[in-house]
Amino acid sequence: MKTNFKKLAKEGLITSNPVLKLVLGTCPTLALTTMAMNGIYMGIAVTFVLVCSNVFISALRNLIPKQVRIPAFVLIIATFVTIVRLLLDFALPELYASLGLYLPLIVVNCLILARAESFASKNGVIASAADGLFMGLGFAISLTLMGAFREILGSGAIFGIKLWDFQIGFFSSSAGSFFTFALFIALFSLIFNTIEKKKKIKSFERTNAKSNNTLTAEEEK
Amino acid sequence: MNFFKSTFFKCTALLLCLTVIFGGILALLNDVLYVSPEERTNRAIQKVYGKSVEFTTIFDIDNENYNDDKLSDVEKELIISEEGRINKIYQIGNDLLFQSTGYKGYKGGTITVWVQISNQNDTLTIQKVLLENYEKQTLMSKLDSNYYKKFLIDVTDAYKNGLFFTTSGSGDFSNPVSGATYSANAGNNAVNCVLRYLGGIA
Repeated sequence: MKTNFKKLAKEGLITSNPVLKLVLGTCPTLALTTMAMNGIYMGIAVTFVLVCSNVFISALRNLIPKQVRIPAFVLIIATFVTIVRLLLDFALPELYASLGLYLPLIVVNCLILARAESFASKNGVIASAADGLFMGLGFAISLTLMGAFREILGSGAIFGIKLWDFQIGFFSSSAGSFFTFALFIALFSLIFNTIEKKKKIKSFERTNAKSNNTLTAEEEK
Repeated sequence: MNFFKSTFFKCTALLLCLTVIFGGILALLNDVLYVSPEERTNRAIQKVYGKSVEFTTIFDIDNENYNDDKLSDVEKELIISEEGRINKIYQIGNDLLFQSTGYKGYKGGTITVWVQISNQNDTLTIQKVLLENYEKQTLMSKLDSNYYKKFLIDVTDAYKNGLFFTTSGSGDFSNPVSGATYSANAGNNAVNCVLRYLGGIA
């Protein structure tokens, strides 16, 4: 079966956006979005784990009995999270330090287990890899946007570059993270629902026009 | 024969295989990507100084042959106390860099910090206090190096004269972590260990 990359991309980035639509992985979303760079770092780490774990789980899907699929998935996911930790500690210690506790917590990030269970265990390797990539990108983009918002308002900076002295401390706090998350979900839903509504109206109008044309043709006959 | 075709056997065998294979991969990667204690020390020092510097190790509990029991009574009194202990001491030029752990934090937890002591005009002063790690503490982002630095004191006299950091009372020496008294307690104890050591060897 041919992989529909366009559909997977649309799902991962928009229609099934893991953070703003499915509300998965909220722990790192709330804790790490104090700065835009943290969002990017976390997004890259999660994307790597998602892609690798999806590939392996998809490759082994016919071998893993359904009775032990969850422990097997967690074992595979934990392995890749450990690989990421070892790599970052060795090569990028500052990044490793900035992600801190949330790096090992990727193991229990429900996004990864959810995609393993709902997609990778039922589809081919290439499709699973693409799904992992686009879901990870959706996660990374959401976290980066939220991080940028909070950083601009909370610290008056963006990607560590100072913009102005004006700061609203609320957005750097935990309460601010919840508020920002709610705001982004509301905005995303508003934009998404508006676009869907317009599509439905256009599609309805097209259907109506077609049926009118069919009636006219039949009447002429 | 039926046992080897059973679901129980298949599940167990698969989980064991995955554990062995992935465990092997991780063991190999752990070896390849190993970060030595010397490298970790370099990184910690870089964190304090912002660059690589040459240092001399005066004391380090991570040394292979180290044992608390091998310390003399005098050394034990300087390094270990009820409030905390000193883990490492390095000399960098005229500076001393300590790693110390403060006890009696929130839920009995601990805080480990790096304390940079500078020699300015023959007076030892606290230059920087950086968080290394902690157990069971809260509001660690509020542990502020500048709080300890702003009291540029002669640390050799500080501890002897009863001047050390505390969370009780008011005034310059109290409560550096607002809203988290027990966490501040452990942080203070970690810095006080250094004051105690320097006061003791003065």
